[in-house]
Amino acid sequence: MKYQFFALIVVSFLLGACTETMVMIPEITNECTEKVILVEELTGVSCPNCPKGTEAVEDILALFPGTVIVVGVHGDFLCEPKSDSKYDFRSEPAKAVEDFLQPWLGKPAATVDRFPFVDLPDGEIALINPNSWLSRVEQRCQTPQALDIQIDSNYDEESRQATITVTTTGMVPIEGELRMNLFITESHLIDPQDAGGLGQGIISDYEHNHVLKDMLSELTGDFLVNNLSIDQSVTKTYTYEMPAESNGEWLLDNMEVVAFITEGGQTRGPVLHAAITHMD
Amino acid sequence: MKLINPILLALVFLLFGTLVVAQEAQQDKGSFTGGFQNSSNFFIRDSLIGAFDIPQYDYQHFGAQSWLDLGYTRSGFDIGVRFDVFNNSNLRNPNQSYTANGIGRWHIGKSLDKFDIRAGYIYDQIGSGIIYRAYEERALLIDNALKGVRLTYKINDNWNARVFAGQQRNLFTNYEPNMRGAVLEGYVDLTSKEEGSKLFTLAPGIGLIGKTLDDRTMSSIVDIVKTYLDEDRFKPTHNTYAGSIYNTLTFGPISFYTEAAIKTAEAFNDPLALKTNRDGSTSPGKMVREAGSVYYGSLSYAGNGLGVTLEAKRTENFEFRVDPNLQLIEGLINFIPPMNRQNTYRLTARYSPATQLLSEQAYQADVKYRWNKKLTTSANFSYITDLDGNKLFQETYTEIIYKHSRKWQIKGGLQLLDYNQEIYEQKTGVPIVETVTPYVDFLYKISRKKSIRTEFQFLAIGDDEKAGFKQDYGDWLFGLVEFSVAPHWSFGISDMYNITPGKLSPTDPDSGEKLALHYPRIDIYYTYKSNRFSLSYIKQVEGIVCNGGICRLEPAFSGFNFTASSSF
Repeated sequence: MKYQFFALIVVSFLLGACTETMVMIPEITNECTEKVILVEELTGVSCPNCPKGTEAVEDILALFPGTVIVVGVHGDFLCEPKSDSKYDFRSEPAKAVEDFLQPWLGKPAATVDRFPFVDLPDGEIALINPNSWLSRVEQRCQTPQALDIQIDSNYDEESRQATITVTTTGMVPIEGELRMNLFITESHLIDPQDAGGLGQGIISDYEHNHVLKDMLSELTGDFLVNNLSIDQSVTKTYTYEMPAESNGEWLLDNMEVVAFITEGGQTRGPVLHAAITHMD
Repeated sequence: MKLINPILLALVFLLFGTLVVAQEAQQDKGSFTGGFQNSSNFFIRDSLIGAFDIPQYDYQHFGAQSWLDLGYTRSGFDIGVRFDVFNNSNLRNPNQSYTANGIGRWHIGKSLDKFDIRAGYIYDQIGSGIIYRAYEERALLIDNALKGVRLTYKINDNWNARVFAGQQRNLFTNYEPNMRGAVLEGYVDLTSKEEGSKLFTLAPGIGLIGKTLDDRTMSSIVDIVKTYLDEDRFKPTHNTYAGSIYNTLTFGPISFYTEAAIKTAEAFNDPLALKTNRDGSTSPGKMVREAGSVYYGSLSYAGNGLGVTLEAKRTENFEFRVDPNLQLIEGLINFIPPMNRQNTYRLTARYSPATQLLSEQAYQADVKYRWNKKLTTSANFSYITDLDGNKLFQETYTEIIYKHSRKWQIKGGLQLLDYNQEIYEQKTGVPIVETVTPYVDFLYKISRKKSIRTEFQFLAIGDDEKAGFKQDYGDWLFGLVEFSVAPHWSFGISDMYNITPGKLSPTDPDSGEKLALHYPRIDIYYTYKSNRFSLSYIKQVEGIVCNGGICRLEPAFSGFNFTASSSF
C-alpha cells in the first residue's frame, strides 16, 4: 500500500506536466492620451550593456513619437570616460539624479514617469531589464493628461544666457503639492561607448543623445503650487548661462530644455506631465 | 508577516513550553542548539582604489549583518527560528546600502514512525543540485530555502521518498511562483557474500521539479515578448518541469557518479541570442523559450596513496530561476557543480570562473599521490569552453607538500591559468587573461602551542597589447605572516602589492602614471571554546568572489572588519 501511495504522488506530479494552454501575446498599443511621458535612462559610457538600453529607448521613441521625452543620466556608476573619450558626461546634477533614483541593481536601468509600478519592490522605481521599458511606457500612455506645460526659451548669443519661462496649466483639478523640475540636455555628441554587451567592443563614434547636462531646479523639484484647478496657470522663470562651446560640446543647436511636473511634494514623483523645447 | 506572526507565536510557545516540560520531566530533555554570526564593516573612503561613492563610504561609515539561529529537538520534534539583521549592509548589493531585520527563517518538523513532516523554510537538494538545491551561502547572501512543506517517507532501510511544495524565499518575503518536487533515492548493495569480495554498491535516485509562474510574473514576460517583432516572439507557458536521474556506483576503490538532467522549454534571458530591432538591425540579448539539459559525470579512484578524479560536464540552456526576470544570483532554483579547483590562496583564487548556465562544456582531472609520510604531490587540470568551442577557462595547478616530522611543513606549487574576462566579468574588448602564479606556504611549529606560517605568491600576468599595459591590474606580489598561539590567539599581517600596474590599476591624478599600490591587511583572531572573534584592517582590490562556482564581482574595500561567531 505504501508503495502505491508514493507512486500515486509521483504519477500525479507527472500528469501535471501535460500540455497547458499557451499564453497569447497581444500587440503593442500606441494610441495614447496627450500626456507626455518622461523616461530617465541611467546609463554610462563604460557600461557595456547600456547600448541595449539606448536601443530600447530608440524603439520607444520610434513607436511613441511625440509621447515620450528621454533624458540620459550619466551619473557616476560605469560612467568613467574611455581612454580616448573627448568628453566626460559625468556631472554633479547627473550624479545627484542617479543617486536620487536609487535603488537600482545595475545599469542599464530606467524610470518611466518615476512611477512605482505595482510589481516593483517597495520604494523602487527603476526598471532593470530594457526589454520591459516599452511595455511600461505603453501602460503609462493611457493615463489622462492632467495638466499642460508650455516652455518658452529665449537665448542671447552674446551672453550665452537663456531665459526660460515655464507655464503650467491645470486640465483637471489636482490636489496636493506640485513641483517643477527643469533639466538641460544635449544630443548628437559623438564619443566612444563601451558596447561589449552588443559584442562590438568599444564603439568610437557612438552618438550620445539626451545627455543630462544641468539641472536648474532643486533635486526634488521647485515648489510650484498647492492644488491646481482647471485652467489655473502658474508660471516660473529660470535663467541659464550655457558654458562656452568646447570641442563640439555645448552647441546651441544640440541643447534642449526639459520640464516636468511631479506630484507628492518633495518626493520622486510620479511625473504628471513633461515637455521639451530647443534652447533658442 | 501577518501570516507568519501566529506561526511564530506558536513556535515560541512550543519551544518554551517544551523546555518547561523537559525541565519538569527530567527525562528526554531534548537538545537545544544555536548559533550567532556577525560581520561588521567600518568603511574608510579611499577613492584611489575605488572604495567610494556608496553611502557607506560617503556618510554611513558603518554596515553590519547578523544572524541568530535557535533550534530545539526533542521526541522527534525539530523546531528552529533564525533572526536576521542588516544594518546599512553592503552584502546584498556591494554598491548599495540595505537595512532590514526580522525572522529570516523558521521551521518545524516531526519524525513519526516512517514519516518525517516538515514545514517552514526548508533546505534540500536533489542529486548534485542540478535541478534543485535550496541552501544557504552567507558570504554571497544566498538563502533560497523553500517556504513550504515537505513529507519524507522511509520505505525501508535503503530507500526513501520525499515530496515538497512551496515558494522560494526572498529575504523577508518570498517569490510568487510556486514549486513542487518529488524525489526517490535508494541504496543497493551488490557486494558478493564471498570473503574478500570488493564493495559493490549503487546509490540511484530520480528527482522531479515543477514550477508554476504566477500571473504577475507571466504578465511581465508577456510585456517583454509583445515588444518583439514576429520573428523573435514566442508563446510562454506557466509551467516548467525539470527531471534528473543519477547514480553513484562504487566498486572497491572506484566511485562513479553520473547524472543526466533535462528541463522543459521555458522563457529565460539569453544575452547572446540575436534580437531583431525595428530598424532591421540585430543586437544580442533577448528573452527566448528553450528546453535545457545538463550531463555530468565524475569518476574517482582512491587507494595505495593514489587519488584520481576525472570529471566532465555539458550544460545547455539550463538557466532555472523562479522568475526569468531575475539576474545574477537571484532566484536560482538549482546549482550546477563547478568544474575547476576551489583555490584558497589569495592570488591563485584571484581569477575564478562562474558556472555558465547556458552554454558550457567542461573537463577536470585531479591526481594526488602520497609518496610516503613526508611527501605528497598533486596536480589538477581543468578546461572549460562554451558549446561552440570558445575557450573560457583553463587551469593547471600543481602542489608539493613536504612534512618534516612535526616541526615544519612546506607546501608549494605553480598555477598556470587562462581566464576569459570578457565573459566572466563582462569587461569589454579585453584579451583572455593569462597568469603564471608560483606560491609557497611554510609552517613552522615553534613549540607545542606556538607556530608561525608564511605565504608568498607572485602572479605574473600577460600583456594587453592593444591597451599598451599589462592585462587587468598587472602583476601582483603577496606575502603573509601568521603567528598562532593555540588555542586562543592568531595574528596575521599580509600585503598584496601591485608590483607592475596594469590597465585597470589606479592612475595618479597629477602625473597620469599607473600607481603601484599596496593592499595591506592585518588580522587578529581570538577563539574561546566555540566562539570566534576577529578584527581586521583591510585594503582590498576589486575582485571576483566565488563560492562553488557561484560568483560575483566585489568592489574594492577599505576599512575595518569585525566578525563574531558562536555556536552553542
